[in-house]
Order: sequence, then structure tokens, then C-alpha cells
Amino acid sequence: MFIDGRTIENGQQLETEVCIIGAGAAGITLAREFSNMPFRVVLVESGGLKHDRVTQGLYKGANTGHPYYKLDEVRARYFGGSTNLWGGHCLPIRPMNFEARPWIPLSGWPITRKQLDPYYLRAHRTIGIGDYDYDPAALALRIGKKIFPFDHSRVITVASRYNPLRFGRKYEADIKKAENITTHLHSNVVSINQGRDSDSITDVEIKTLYGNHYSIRAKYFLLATGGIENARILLLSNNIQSSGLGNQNDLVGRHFMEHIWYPNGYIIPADQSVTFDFYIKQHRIADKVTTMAHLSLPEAVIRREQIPDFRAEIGLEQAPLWQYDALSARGTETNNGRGENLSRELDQRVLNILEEMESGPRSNTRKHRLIRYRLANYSEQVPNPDSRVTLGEKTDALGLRRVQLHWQLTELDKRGIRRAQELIAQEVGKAGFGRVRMELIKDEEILLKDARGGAHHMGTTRMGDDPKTSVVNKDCRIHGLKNLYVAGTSVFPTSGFANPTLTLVALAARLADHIQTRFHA
Amino acid sequence: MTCDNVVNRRTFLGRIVGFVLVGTFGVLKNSLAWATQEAGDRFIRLVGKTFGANRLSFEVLGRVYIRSLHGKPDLGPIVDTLLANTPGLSIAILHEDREQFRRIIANNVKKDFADGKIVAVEGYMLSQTEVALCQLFVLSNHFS
Repeated sequence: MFIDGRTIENGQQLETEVCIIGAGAAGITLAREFSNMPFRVVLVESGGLKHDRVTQGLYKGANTGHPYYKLDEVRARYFGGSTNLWGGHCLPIRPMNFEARPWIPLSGWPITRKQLDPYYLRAHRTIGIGDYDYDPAALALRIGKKIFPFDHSRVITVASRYNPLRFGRKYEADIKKAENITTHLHSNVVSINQGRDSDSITDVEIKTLYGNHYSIRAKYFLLATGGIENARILLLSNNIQSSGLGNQNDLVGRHFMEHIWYPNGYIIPADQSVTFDFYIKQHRIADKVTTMAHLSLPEAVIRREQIPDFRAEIGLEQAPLWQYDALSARGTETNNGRGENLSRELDQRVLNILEEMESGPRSNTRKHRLIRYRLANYSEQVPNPDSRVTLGEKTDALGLRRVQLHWQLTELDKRGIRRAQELIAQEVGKAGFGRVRMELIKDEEILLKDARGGAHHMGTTRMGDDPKTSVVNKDCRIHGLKNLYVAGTSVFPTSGFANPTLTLVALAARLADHIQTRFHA
Repeated sequence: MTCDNVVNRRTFLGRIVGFVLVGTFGVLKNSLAWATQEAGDRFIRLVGKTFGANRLSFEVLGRVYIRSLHGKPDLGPIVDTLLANTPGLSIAILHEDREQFRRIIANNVKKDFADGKIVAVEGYMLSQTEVALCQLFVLSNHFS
């Protein structure tokens, strides 16, 4: 059943067994897992079934750190959450990234990849992305595409699966039909209240933009509002702990991580007649499911180099050839102020040398356009306590303090991307495949000035065994509280290079199992 | 660069390269003075014959690189890089065998990449051997 929170009588106190806060990928996954279970569930969603400007505006906040997107533009605040926006990119986090890696501060999940594998399988079914199989060679074979001819001990191909499933649209009917689930739309949780002299949550306080308010009491509360809002709601919930729920060690909101998306450089292939389009566009492998490949480094190389995990997305560019006759070699010296022209000339010069090295000059087979593979680097961000979400001074339409994001990168982040690119450049040359150009290589300080995120908000309520370095335990329960759980990307202690939705759905399925176990107990 | 400069530079290069070749491989032992010049000339001629079709490309990148050094290029490392102890190189030079020479240089380029011996030229990640060749083309200026 769906009800509109704006129609609920002011001051009403409702009761349920499980209260899920947020109807995005995590919240809807939890609700589906609880469907027709012998306990009642309330699913609380801030928005309605469609986008509306005023509700979306509740996401507004300030950016005080590294340049970032407007916060209300990278999330969707209505039923289905940000799956209403996403590109459907799925990839599991690779096993190494669950381990403690001595070179990555605060790394190490309290669970292993092996423990998460059965839930990844379930997440595949939820998202509808076919088999739990990411073998790039098998996928390439299936679609009849070639893989870059690199030494797999130095540079590897990883393949992703895609299905931009709109969770809201897909599962609205199922959730509506489930007799034990009531969905409250247009209902904003403004506080999660802890009982006095108690280590349990008693209720959540809800307000609507129409001005009415009510509360929900429950046995278990599952917070699933996204990587920034999860932290915000905990910080706002200070009826007992003045610094916010679960924030006794000043960790809620810290360690905000993104995937550092940094377009920089390109490969000039020696053979200009072949394109490796497994890497360039998505290819259909099943109904609504596509696959595409990226470049990455083997786990052994990441360990040896002691850098964050890394992959590079590939784009194809076809630039017009530089005109030989227009400039002489001497002309090049005066060409310095014309960056694009110089760049095109140098691309051509490098290709000439490359062809010499590979098989002798081939100028008579030259095409009219020069093919380049653009590299969009996509790196794991190192957990950094100074990269954080806090509450700002401005308030939103509900009177709640807006969020303030201070995204910060570290020297290791910069070194990692640079080194990863160098390693790819080495292999591209060694394989005789081509040459890499890295732009902005000279100046470390500006190296990442164009870096953006993938709109993946992670790490603000990180998972771990030690309450001094984490907010939730391995069951995603907030340390020190008996019945408040967090679902979503905010629990990721580290991220690897994989887009996070598949993992957050897997973790939500795992949390659902845990809650059911508690009911059985 | 005047014509005299070109000739002088080429002679100078020939002597240095030849001296290294004689020292390294023991080719052409009749007289050191003659041998160095002759060996150097052979080497430079072979480079020109092998890669001369794209000499302008080598020169352009060589100039860009030299400009980034903010000073004179150091000839020693260039010669060392190109004449690193490589099996078959002396024979290739002696017989002015272009195909053999191209194979050796191409292998050295791959080995550079494998060993991480990479030089950034305006952001292009080239092998040490390639960059040495580029500089050699600039310094000797004219290969026939």
C-alpha cells in the first residue's frame, strides 16, 4: 500500500516492526526482500512517484572543498532514488579491495569478497543484469570483439555489465502489492530518536512539506538515504548524543569518498585501421543487458606499486590529420602558441615514429583521420578523514541544517593516478600497440584540477570492527546502538574502482537476511 | 644553424659515436683517429638510411624535447642509449644492414618500455631510445 504522508494527521504516532528510511536502490531492495514476511514494514520516502522541484531542493548544500557538482543535481529525491538517473553500470569490487592494504590508510572491510559473492548474485537478479560473470575474455568472445593485446601480468581488461534499471518504476507494483509493506511518500525523516538511558532507537520523526508531522515507532530502523544524506540525518539526530547518532568518535560524515574521474591523455595506436570497440561502446549480451570493457592493472601490480585501485574508460576520437605541407619542422618552433595545432602535429609525428619502430614507414597507407583512444581515468579514492560531510548554517524548507561537503584528495590519490597512467603507457609501448600521451604531466599541482567524481558518495558511515575507526559494524548496525542499521554506499570503508550500485544492492540483501535472522531469534 | 655548424657538429658527432663504437665493439681497428670517424660516419649514415624517411618527425620531437631541457642536450647519454651493448649491433653497423638495425632499435624500444625507461616529450610517453634518436637527428641535422 502507498500512502501520502501529507494526508496523515498531525502528531499521529504509527507503529511497525521495520522502518526503512529512503526508497532508493538500497531501500527498495530491502523492501523487496521483506515482501510478504511475517512482520510489518514501513518504507518512508521523501519524494513522491515523480520528480518535484521543491523536494529535490532539500538536497541543496554547499561545496567547500575540491570543485564538485551541485549537490541537488547528482541525486534524485523521489521513489526509486538515484536509480532514476543512473547509467546502470555494474561491476563487483574486486577481492583485493576487501583486504587491509598497508599502503591505503584505514583500508580493509570486515567482510570478504567471498562472503559477499552470494549477495552479488542476488543483486544481479534484482538489477536484472544476467549471469554473475565478468570474465572479459568470455564476454568478448560472446559478442565477437577483440581485447587489447596487452601482457596480462602488466595491464588487464575488465568488463562491466549495464542495465539502467529504474528501481521505482520496476518494483512499484510489487511493493504496493506486498501486504506487509506500507510506503509513505512525501515523508521526510527529520530526526531518528534514541530512547533516554537506552541504547535503542525508539522512533523517527517525520515532517512533510505541507507542514504536518508524525512519528513512526519500530523494532528496527534501516537508514538508506544515500552517501551524503545518511550522514546528514545521523548528525541531525541529536536528541541524546549532542554530536549526532553514532558520532561518539567524530566519524559520521568523515572519509567521504568519490571515484576520482579524471579525463587525461590518450593512446595513439600504431595500427590505425582497427578499432577495439569492446572498450568504446556498450554491446548487448541479453535482454536489456549490455557489456563494455575498460583497462585496469592486475592486483599484483597495484600491490607492488602501492597505489589506489584504478581503471580507465576508453573513448574513441578521430581527429583530422595535421596537414604536412602547412608547416615545416622549423614552423613547429613558432607553432608553440597554437596548442591544438601543435598537438595535432605532434600526434602525427609520434605516429610516424611509431610506425617506423613497428614495421617501417607506412605513409602511403595513411588515412585521412587520426584515431586516438581517449583515457578517462577512474580511480579509487583513499579514505581521508578531512574529506567530509558536515552540517552547514543554512537551513532547508523543513528548517533542517543543510549539508556542507568538503571533498579533499590526497597526495596518494594524485600519485596513484599518475603512476597508473605511466604503467599503462609502458605496456602500450612494450606491446608495440601505440604510444600514450599524458596531458598536464609537468605540473603536479594542477594534475587533478579537472578531476571530478562519478557522483558516487561513499564512506561517510564506514563499516568496520573497531568503533574508533568505523561507524557501523559488519552487520551494518551502528556501533553502540541495538536497532539502527545503515544501508547504502556510506558504509563502504573503501571503494575499489567499481561503480557502487551493485555492491550497495548486495549489501542491502545481506542486511535483509540479517534482520530476518534477528526476527527468527 | 649555419652550414658550417652542421658539418662541424656532424663531424663532432661522428667522432664521439665512432669512439664509443670502437671502444664498445672493437670495430675498425686500423687507426683510432680514422676508425672513430669512419665508425661514426657509418653509424650516422645507417641511422639516416634506416629512419630517414621520417627524419622530420624525429627532428621535430627532438627539438621539442631539447627545448624542454632548458640547456644543451647531453651527448653522452644519447650515445650511451643508442649504442648500449646490444648483440648484433656492431655487425649491423659494419655491414650497414638497415633491416637488422631497425630490428635492434625496435627491440631496444620495447625493452625500454618494459624496463620503465620512458621519457615524457610534451606529455608523449616515448622510450629512451626513441628520444635519443630524436635528439641525434637534431644534433647531426642532416642525414643523407
